[in-house]
Amino acid sequence: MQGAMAGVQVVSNNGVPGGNVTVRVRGVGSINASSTPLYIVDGVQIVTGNSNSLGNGNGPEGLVSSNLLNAINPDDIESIDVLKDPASASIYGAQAANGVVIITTKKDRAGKSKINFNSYFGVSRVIKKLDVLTATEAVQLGYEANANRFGAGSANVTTFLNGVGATVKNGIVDPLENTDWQDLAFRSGFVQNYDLSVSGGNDKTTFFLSGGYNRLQGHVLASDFQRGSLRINLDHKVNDKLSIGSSLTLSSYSSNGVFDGGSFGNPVRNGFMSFPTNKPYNPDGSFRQAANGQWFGGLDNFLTYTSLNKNFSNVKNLVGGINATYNINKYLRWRSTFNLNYNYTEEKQFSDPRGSGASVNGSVSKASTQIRDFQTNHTLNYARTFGAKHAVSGLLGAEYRYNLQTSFAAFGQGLPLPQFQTLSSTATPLSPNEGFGDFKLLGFFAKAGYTYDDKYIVNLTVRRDGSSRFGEDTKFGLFPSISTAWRISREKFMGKFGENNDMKLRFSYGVTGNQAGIGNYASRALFGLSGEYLGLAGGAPSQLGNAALGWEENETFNYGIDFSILNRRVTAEIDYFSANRRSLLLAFPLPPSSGFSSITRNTGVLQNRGIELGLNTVNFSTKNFRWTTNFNFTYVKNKVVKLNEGQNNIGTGIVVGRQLNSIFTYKFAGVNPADGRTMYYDTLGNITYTPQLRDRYYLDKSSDPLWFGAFTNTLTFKNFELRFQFQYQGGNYIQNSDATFVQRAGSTFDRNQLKSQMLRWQRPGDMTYVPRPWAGAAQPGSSSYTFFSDRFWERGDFLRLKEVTITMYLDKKTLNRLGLTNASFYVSGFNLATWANYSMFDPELQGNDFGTYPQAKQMTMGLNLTF
Amino acid sequence: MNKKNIFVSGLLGVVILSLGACSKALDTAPKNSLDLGTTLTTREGLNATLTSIYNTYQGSAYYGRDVIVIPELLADNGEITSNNTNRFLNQANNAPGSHINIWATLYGVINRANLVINNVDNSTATAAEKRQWKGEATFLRALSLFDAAKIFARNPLNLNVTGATGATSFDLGVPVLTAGVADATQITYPARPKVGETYDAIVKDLTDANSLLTNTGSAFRVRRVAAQALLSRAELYRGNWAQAERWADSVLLGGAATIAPATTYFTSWGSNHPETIFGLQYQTGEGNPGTDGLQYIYYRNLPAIPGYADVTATASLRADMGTADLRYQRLISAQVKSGQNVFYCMKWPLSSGRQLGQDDIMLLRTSEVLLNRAEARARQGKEALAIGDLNQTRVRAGLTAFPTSGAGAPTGAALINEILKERRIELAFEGHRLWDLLRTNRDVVKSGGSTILTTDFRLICNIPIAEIDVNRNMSQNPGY
Repeated sequence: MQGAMAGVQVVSNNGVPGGNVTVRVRGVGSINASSTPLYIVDGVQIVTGNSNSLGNGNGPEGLVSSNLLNAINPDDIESIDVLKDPASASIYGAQAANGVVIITTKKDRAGKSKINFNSYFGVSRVIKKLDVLTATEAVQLGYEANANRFGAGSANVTTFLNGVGATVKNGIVDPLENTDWQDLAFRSGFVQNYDLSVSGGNDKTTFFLSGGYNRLQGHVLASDFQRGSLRINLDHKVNDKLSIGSSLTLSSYSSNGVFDGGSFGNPVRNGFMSFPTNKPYNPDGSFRQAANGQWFGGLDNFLTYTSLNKNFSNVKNLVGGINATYNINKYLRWRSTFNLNYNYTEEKQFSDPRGSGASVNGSVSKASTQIRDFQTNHTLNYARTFGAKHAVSGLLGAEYRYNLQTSFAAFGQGLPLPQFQTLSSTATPLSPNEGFGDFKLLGFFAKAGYTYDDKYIVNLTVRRDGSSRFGEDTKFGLFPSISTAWRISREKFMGKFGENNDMKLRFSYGVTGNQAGIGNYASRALFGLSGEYLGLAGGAPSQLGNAALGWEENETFNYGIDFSILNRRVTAEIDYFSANRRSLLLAFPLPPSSGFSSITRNTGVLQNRGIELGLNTVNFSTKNFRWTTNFNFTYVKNKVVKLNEGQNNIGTGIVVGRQLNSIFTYKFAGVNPADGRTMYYDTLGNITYTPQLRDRYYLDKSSDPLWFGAFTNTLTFKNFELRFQFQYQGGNYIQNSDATFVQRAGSTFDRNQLKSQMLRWQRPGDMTYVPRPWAGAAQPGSSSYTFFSDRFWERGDFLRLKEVTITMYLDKKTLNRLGLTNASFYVSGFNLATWANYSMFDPELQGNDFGTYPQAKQMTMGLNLTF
Repeated sequence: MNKKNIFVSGLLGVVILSLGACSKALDTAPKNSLDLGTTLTTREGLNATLTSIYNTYQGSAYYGRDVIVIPELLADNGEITSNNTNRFLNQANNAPGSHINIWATLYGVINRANLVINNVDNSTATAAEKRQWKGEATFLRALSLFDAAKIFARNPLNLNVTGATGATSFDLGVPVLTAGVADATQITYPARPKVGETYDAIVKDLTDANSLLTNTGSAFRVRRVAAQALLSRAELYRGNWAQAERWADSVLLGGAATIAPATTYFTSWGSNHPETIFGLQYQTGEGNPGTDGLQYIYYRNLPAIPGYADVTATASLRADMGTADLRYQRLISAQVKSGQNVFYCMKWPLSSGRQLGQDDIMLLRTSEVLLNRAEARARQGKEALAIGDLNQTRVRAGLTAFPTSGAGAPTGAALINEILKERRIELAFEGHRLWDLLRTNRDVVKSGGSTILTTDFRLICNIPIAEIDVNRNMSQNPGY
């Protein structure tokens, strides 16, 4: 899906196997509620998001339970369609404000039974290693930092040098043995995938069966992913009027994850920060820890975490349903569907008493989460053509959805032996937790369409939806839309143009709703649990009621033109949209003297405006050679229009009149050539060494990208096909939190630094942006080297060669000889090259870069056979 | 055509039926929370609400630590050791805006107390419970309002403030709220009454609680004697000496309070101290503050008793005590921390059999009431009686008794000074010092030698910006 469509942005936030991706249709749609689109697989609304129940600040984010879309086997997907403008999405009304992703899986077809086998293998490697200091260089910077601050002959210098076992001659550190900790953190990843499907049937009954298995060893230590899935589709025509169908998908997917973020157990972050004079192992083979003058500083040896601890999660998923279609007459059709989406997640974390769990003698956390989502949908469809030119269609429907999520989690500590890793073997079981949440949705909808001569098209939709999450007075929202199109190429005045070309003007207007990401009981006045005293359980009002809490709305105007010219060799779709995301939920502040701090109200307005361009060209087409190009581009910019009454900003990132997530920071002015201190601009534009809060300014950029897109070429020569895709994204800035740790000019001399820090200021006159090494902190009269200014906000722009695939198809003759219908062999490379000006691993992320599991370069080869 | 009509009317029928039932079709019910309105009319809901107030008091942001420690550091009893964990440094340095920022917590307690008081009469509780719970809630409301008045308003006897804009008399108290908020429509935007009116409300609540409560039950829940003890303190704080004496008499003569003899006085700290008139106790598993508790910040005795031990007694407190005082010998632990001579308070000693952070916290105790009475008597000229009260704590601490009259008997200002000195020693580290200095118009002489005038704006806390921004009727304290 990545790069396939204008207006749809897909960001892999990290490279975790099975980890989560962010999908945004036409930008960010909400401030506090969800901006995630609605996913529909074969008509079933899929439960997305996560099913994590183990709350853990530095939790293994990468675990598969954080991305329920893992349940879908990509090999089962026939097509993905994204409904972007509210007129097309509005039939999904209440939940469509963030767009709708419609996934259609491969279907059964009558005819000769068909067997398809697809398999690939591949290897992966981290996208790049950071260029960090060698042991000698790192000690050199640490030595200078101490010598600059305390004097070359000081006890601090001696302590430091003794600690790392180094000697210095004439201010230069003698060569030291180096440990490349990144080599210990990263490894070769490996992927294997097998899919087998069978389909067939006769005019009465058709079937589709598929099974898949995917296994991935992550390119970071101790991380992996595997998935098995099974799918059955069965359709039967009872008679001319009635047909019934059923589908069932079962999948189970698991992963072992590593801690991310600032955790000591994060191999990525500690891979580039562990001090390179350290050795990973003691002579007896045990893990070496910070002791006896060894310089691990605040960082533990991450190998103890990756080798001894466990972070496991498994999700079992079932999507099943039945449907019936009854053709009342030639024009009128009734269809009913009943579907169940069931999800069982198991999570387990184990902290080994020999490593990170030492202080509590080991700990175990375990959680299980169940999600049950039932949906039923009933429609009456009408379609009829009157005469040759009038086509009329209508639809009337009702839909109901019930979602229930329950969980159980517990935690225990104190294990007799490290081999005991169950809750029941802990000495002190703690904090058992039972979670419960449910919501219901009910909707009624109608749609009417009229087309005249395939020239004038108009569609009207209206939908009334209710959600149990909202207040008594506002449970139901009304979501109307209209879309019109004019196929101008069919007009007489276009003359001959219309014969070989096509041109269509489109306009649509619609309102859709959003209730995702809002608490299940957000509108209620609640009494919650609140501690205990002398054996009695306490309770207290936990939330004030708001009977007026209602839907967030997306009102969009969409103007589009589609054309296809030069004998349809160039086709394009261009859209301009302007969306008012209104009634956004915001915390409305209350006087704390009331005993409450805020209440949620529908007060915010956010505006999203953008253009989308999709261009397909056939550049060259002969009998043996064909070259096609797909190019898409999206520009989308949002603006906060309104917050609470009289409120101009929420924090510094949400400000009326500015882009959401605006960046408010200090302005770095480089390093003073005279003394190596860091300089900043104050509010008057003068140089200051100690900036004050008032000196911050708006970077006029946000952490949300402004533009993104892809460029794909497909070249076919005889039996060979070459496809390569570039992706690009930019206009955003990334908060590079890791950089504040590895760009300290050696002042924190127990962690490794980037190679760029060797450009440190050394003597008056040095022109550099790396300040003077100064042990422990910044130089007197200047700010800390970790001071977060625009020095650490980095451009997120990048261009990436995302995929290159070469496929060889067997020719008809060979196929016949082998008894095959189709056969191909392919080699693919992913993330082969990236052009960016970014100091850490990878700019393909949004917001904050802090211990992110980096993406991989991957090479795979595969085989696809159809019998 | 006929058939079609049947289907269409069938569908319409279904739709209409569903529409009719739709309010019901969307019914859901949370399980980890309950509906607020109905819960507050039940016996169990009110009891739980009351319990939650005690739980809030136990937290480290309230009596679990901050409200006890910070007044000692803002004043002259405690200072931060040079090797420390960065806790409370700003308070110890009297940095502007660094105080006890618990406005929202205090009014959260007051709101819950109001909900109990407002709803209890119409609830399913028994008649005895109604009386008891109303009495407890009224007391707890007064206790938190008293805290708010101390922290966020000037003492009525010391209204002058010196801020950035010069000296002024500032007589605003803190809002007195008596109607519970359980719905957004009930929210008010209160202004600040005169501080005298705030004290009137505190005294009225405590008088009501006194008539509602009995003296049965444990000292770790509110009893009648607690209301009387707090009344004597509140009257003392606003200079109503006769009433302060009267309520102290009620406590000391009522039979529900014990003046602990030296044999138990020194050995019972942290665990069921016989002096307890009202205190907080932590049962095992009830979320005690652990390393965020009083023992951890005040005391350690490595390796058996770990702690941050960031607070040490100042030289002036130790000078007032003198080394002969048993309270110095038995409740102060002289140790060396990173080369510095430090003097830890052992009133929260990690008593044996208790978990880390599980020591009891006394909020009202007999010796304080005794000293309340001594001061109230002295201020009314009943000096011999005052000296008699004063001698009780002195003698227990191994000091000689003052003669009650004649040579050597302190009189006038000297007697008041002796009583306040005794109060400083007896109640050291229990969260009284700043308020005693403020109400008696005494400057704060910091250990570094600097003097913070008693009128200094920093000695009371600013009203939080979240309140000022939202509530236009709220006035900020001078200097902020």
